[in-house]
Amino acid sequence: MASNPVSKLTEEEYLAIERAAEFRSEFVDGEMFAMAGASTSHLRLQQNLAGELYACFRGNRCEAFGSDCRIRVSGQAYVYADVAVACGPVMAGDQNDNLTNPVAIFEVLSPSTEKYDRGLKFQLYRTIDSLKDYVLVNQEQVRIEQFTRRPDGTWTLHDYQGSDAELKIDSIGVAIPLRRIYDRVSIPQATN
Amino acid sequence: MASNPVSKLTEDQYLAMERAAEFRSEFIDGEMFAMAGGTNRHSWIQRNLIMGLGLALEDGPCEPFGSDSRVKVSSRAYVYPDVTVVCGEHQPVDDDDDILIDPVAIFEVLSPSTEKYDRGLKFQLCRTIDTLRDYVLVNQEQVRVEQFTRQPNGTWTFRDYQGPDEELKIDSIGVTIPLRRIYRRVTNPPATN
Repeated sequence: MASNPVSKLTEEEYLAIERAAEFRSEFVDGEMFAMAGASTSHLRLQQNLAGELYACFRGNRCEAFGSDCRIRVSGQAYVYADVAVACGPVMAGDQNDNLTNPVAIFEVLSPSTEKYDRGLKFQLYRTIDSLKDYVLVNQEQVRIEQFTRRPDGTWTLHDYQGSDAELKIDSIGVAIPLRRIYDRVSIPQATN
Repeated sequence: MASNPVSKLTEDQYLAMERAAEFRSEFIDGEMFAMAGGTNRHSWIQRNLIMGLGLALEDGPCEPFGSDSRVKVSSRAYVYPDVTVVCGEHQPVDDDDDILIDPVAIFEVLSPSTEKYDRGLKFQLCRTIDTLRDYVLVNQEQVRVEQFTRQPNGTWTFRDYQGPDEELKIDSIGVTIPLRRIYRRVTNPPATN
């Protein structure tokens, strides 16, 4: 039998399928990738982050969106971030459901998505001009890794470790103690 | 039945086993992890790096080592980077002289099976090595090199290089290499679309 080449989807085909779908899928280079569920630790980290950001942004020009918010990276890529922040007018396309101007994006790392979040997904995010901060939240240790875009196109990696550290994100004017982000999250004991 | 906790190895136990072993294993927090083989593309890139660095560093104080060189991160971690550059006069750690310490630059060629580790935990471990100035990731599926450079304030600067005409610049060891040389002879990967 001849091999059966997978036919690539166009952007329009993806959006038509996705808008009617019962579960979320990302779209990269013509292919759709279903999103997995998450652990309770993942959900707590995500909720704690979104909650802290919500409180910080009350009365100002930024707002936080959860992982139902589809982000348009380009005509070839649409993704869902764990938390995305936009400031000023939110630009989300004709049907108001494709965010295009995130300023900060947060991903909670999972064993199944860590390679993608650190690798290809970050590569895709780097092409979004409005993005200033990309923040990775570890589930297995109290540790946050923050990538901040610099004017010359390079990024600064800043490590935050331990519950007394404070995540500082100048692009959206927030500083959050890791203690609050990791509230109720159980961290595996150090192994030795 | 009671669960059976895995007993942790000490540094000395790891080194004794590793020195007698027929294949390489890394050591993290009391556990050993066997190293996998690599694709030809991985080998080409690794060899191009070692040759390029070897030539560029020939007359200076720094030199590159390949993936048979064991690097001590701490008493709890030993790793085998694809390429390790150390500088200064060689000081054996012990009589066996089979451990590298104080690396200045580390290079990893990314593979599907190790990319998560190379970008994540392995880099986290390497960031604790005070002498390390540059951590460089080389993609196999695209002509793209990602460089992390330590700053005096403890942060790292991350820089992307894309395409054969770009030049990877590593100030810590005074080397500039065109990506064309790093990817020499590397056959084109299947296009993604």
